[in-house]
Amino acid sequence: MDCRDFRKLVSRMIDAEATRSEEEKLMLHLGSCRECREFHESLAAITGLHRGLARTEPSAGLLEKILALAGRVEGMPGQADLESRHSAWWKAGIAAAAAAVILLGVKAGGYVMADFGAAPSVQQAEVTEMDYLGAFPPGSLGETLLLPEEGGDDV
Amino acid sequence: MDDRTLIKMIRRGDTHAFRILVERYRTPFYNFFLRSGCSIEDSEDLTQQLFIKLLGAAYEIRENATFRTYLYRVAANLLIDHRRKQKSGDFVGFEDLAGDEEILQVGSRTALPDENAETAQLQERYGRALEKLPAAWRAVLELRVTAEMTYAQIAESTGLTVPAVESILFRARERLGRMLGDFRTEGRRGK
Repeated sequence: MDCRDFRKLVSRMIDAEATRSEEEKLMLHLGSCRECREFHESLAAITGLHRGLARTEPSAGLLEKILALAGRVEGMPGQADLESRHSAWWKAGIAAAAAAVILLGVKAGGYVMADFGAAPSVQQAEVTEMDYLGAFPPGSLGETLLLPEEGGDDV
Repeated sequence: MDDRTLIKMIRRGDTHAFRILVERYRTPFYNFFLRSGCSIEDSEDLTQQLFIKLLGAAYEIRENATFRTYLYRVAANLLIDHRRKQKSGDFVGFEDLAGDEEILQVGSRTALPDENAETAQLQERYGRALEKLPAAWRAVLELRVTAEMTYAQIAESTGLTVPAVESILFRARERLGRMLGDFRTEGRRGK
């Protein structure tokens, strides 16, 4: 092996691609060759300089552009879409909770004041509002929240 | 939250998880494209394409694959496609991006008053020297040093052979060393 071969080996050693026996050979050579030792120092310094390169920030709008494009990908809701779905989910949740409270109230009212007028019909309204929940794709976070017994432990 | 968890959430259609991944990786990959010789506009465009591809492939990413490495592989492929389009079909691989062997001296040798300024100047000179390298060499350097990919992974991502990757890295570093001159001696002299 000549110095050029050893220098190639230096590059591989810096990249942790040299075998142990290659490294041993190289270390022996570096002990006796000042030029190759300096080459080794130079390559190590260059690697350090590369790691220290300053990063250029992309334009401020790149993130939003990507999210907007993502909204057009099938099966992936965009940001606005997600927000409207969240809003719909909350609306549906509140409506369902309100309906449940009314139903309970009506039921309880039935026991307490059986002679009062007929309870308002909330069943239809409840079903209509609950349809919003169907906006969540199967296995989505929304569906997981809707069916807590199915998991969602890593969210 | 780690990348693997985020990918699982993306598979379930979670946009917020996708947003976190984009926020985490957009700058490193934008810089990968920039340092590989793409313009600012092209780098932004390729970064967009990278994340849209990620969405499409979220179901295909192997659980045991390192997500970062996976993204760099996709980025390398996007870079190849981009260069191929630019060259109107002449481009067949990373080898085509290799430039001539001209040796360029970069930067001045003016000593600076303090160590920080000296380091900053050296870093700047390194950046300029890097720009003189063929784009493919820069891309391979990025894949090795920044993405910390092995030679085999770089070869798989770029279509080069492992000996070719080894050769490019050696030649790139050798040339950078020559372009920068005796910078280590300069550093010692300045102290």
